[in-house]
Amino acid sequence: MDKKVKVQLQGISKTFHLGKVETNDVQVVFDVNLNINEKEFVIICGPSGSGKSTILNILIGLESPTKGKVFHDDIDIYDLSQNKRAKLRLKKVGVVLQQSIWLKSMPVLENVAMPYFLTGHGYNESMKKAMEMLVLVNMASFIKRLPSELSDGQQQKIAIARALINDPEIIVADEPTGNLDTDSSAVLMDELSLLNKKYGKTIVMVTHDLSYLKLTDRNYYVKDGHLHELHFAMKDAPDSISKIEEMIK
Amino acid sequence: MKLRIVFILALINLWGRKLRSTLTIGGIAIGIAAIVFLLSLAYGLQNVITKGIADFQSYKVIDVNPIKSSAFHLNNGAIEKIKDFSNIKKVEGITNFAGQAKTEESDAYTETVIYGASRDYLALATVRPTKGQYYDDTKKEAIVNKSLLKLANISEDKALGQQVKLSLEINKSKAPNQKHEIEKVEDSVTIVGILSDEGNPVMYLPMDFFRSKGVEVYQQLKVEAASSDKETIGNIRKNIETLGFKTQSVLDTISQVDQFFAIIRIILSLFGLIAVIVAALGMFNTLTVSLLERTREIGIMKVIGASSKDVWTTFLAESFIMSLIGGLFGIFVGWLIGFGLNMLLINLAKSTGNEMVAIFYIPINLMLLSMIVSVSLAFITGFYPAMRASKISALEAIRYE
Repeated sequence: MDKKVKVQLQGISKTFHLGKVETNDVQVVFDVNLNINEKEFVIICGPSGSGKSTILNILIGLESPTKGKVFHDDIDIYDLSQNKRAKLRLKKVGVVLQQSIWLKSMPVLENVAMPYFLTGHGYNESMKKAMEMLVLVNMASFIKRLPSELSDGQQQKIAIARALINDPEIIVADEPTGNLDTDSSAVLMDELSLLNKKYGKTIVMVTHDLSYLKLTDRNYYVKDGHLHELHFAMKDAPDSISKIEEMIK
Repeated sequence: MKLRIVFILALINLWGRKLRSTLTIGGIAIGIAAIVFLLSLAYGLQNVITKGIADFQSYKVIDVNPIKSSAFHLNNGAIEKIKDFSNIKKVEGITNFAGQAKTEESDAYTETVIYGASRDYLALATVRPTKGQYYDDTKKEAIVNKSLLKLANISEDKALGQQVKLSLEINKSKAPNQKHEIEKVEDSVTIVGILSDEGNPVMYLPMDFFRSKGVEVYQQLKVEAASSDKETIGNIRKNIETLGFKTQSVLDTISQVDQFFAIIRIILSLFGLIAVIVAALGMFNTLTVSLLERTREIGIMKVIGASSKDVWTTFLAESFIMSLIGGLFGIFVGWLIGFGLNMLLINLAKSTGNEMVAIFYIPINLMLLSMIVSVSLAFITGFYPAMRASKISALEAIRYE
């Protein structure tokens, strides 16, 4: 049985206008088409500056495309107002960034609770829910600490707890292991795999670490703003940019 | 986002920056306290002066005087006409003559002013004997002041019940300034009341005493209105003035005092306003700096799903909460200082035997005004930072260093 398409990018292009002169315009994404099915784990990889984060930002409604459409469950999200797109993210998308950003004056528990609180739940209810999420990521003992007091790996784990609190259908991670050491990266990837396999979350992850390609259902490579789907057997997963370049020729 | 959530979020944010929030609230409190303190001083002084001018009963009383060049006289006919107007409770007149008084035993007379007025007139004019009582209008009784007793060598202790011989020239002319119908009168009266006043020697006799001698014209009338309402008093005065007389009311003086203090209040408000403006600039600065410091936080809030409106209302709620607490605290501090000084002055007055006065008074309107100023401050100073925060692009904000 075919899986339901969760997110669809249709003919997406993005040009940044630098100044008022048209010759200064820089096109960073070219005619990208991408379907992400429910419960899929998709990786978008590519070198720095290739346009992969821009694609991700367009996908979650933070960056309007110059051309093309983005559908979340058949809703064209750029037909919605900015505030409605924010509400859609709040309820349906969990976001994990390369470097987690926190509300500095709030402890871990309140930071994790924030998306739940924003949906209109009471303070105590939100704290209870946040506690459940922190137990899930094995960070329950850090609830009273300020996030800035934690290591990068610990911060990414509580970022996952924050992303999960509204039970989103899709989790979007932009270089989540970018600042982590090998061990912390492995732990984080295990968490994401678990969320996908055990809890059926759709995951879209942007990374430049090619070692994760074998963990996922489908992989994409972005080169100079063009998106290429990578097809390979698990045992032949490419481990270098040159192999991928060869593959997409 | 629900308003309740907005306020909880704003409180969490303020709590997270305790020192800065406290200092900002303190600044607002000082500004509001300055306004409350200065204006309560103005209101208090106005109260003290107004009460000094007249008691509440005097507000109902209108003085009626003849116009010098006019042919209209204040006689019984005029009194009847005035009584016919609506809302009139009482009309009483007074007349006066130069005279002399002495005791039976004394050889020499003492010069004095002798007034003819009913006891009701004396009550309206707040002429109250401090010793003895009012006279009976139908008897030959008198109220005198201490000066007269002194000059006539009458001991204050023995004055009540003392017989006094009078000698005066009564002008019976219908026009008080004409001197052609003058009759010399000599009679005896009994002192029944003493006034504490120590100015010129005066004696009050019942008006009936003069009526029996043929006096028909009064120097002045006092009209008591049924109410102290400004409109009622105004209408009565208009009616009386149509009869060709001029009128005066203590409300004229009070109105002048009110006008004077309205100006004083404006001047004092301007001084208080300087403190409020400094506090407002402080709050604006706090919110703007906070905006810069929290740019990345605003960015992540938007990334996880807060709308621009959520950010806007949260920022505005923060300034609103600071203003509200600052305003309430400022009113309390302003009241406390005024109350403390009032207590100090009252105790000082008690110990020195002077009249106790409260020179600070905070009417409810002043409290409401202070709260309005304080809350307006929240919107004036919070609007711009809140607007800027709401317009920040989420992506630019999370990249902000």
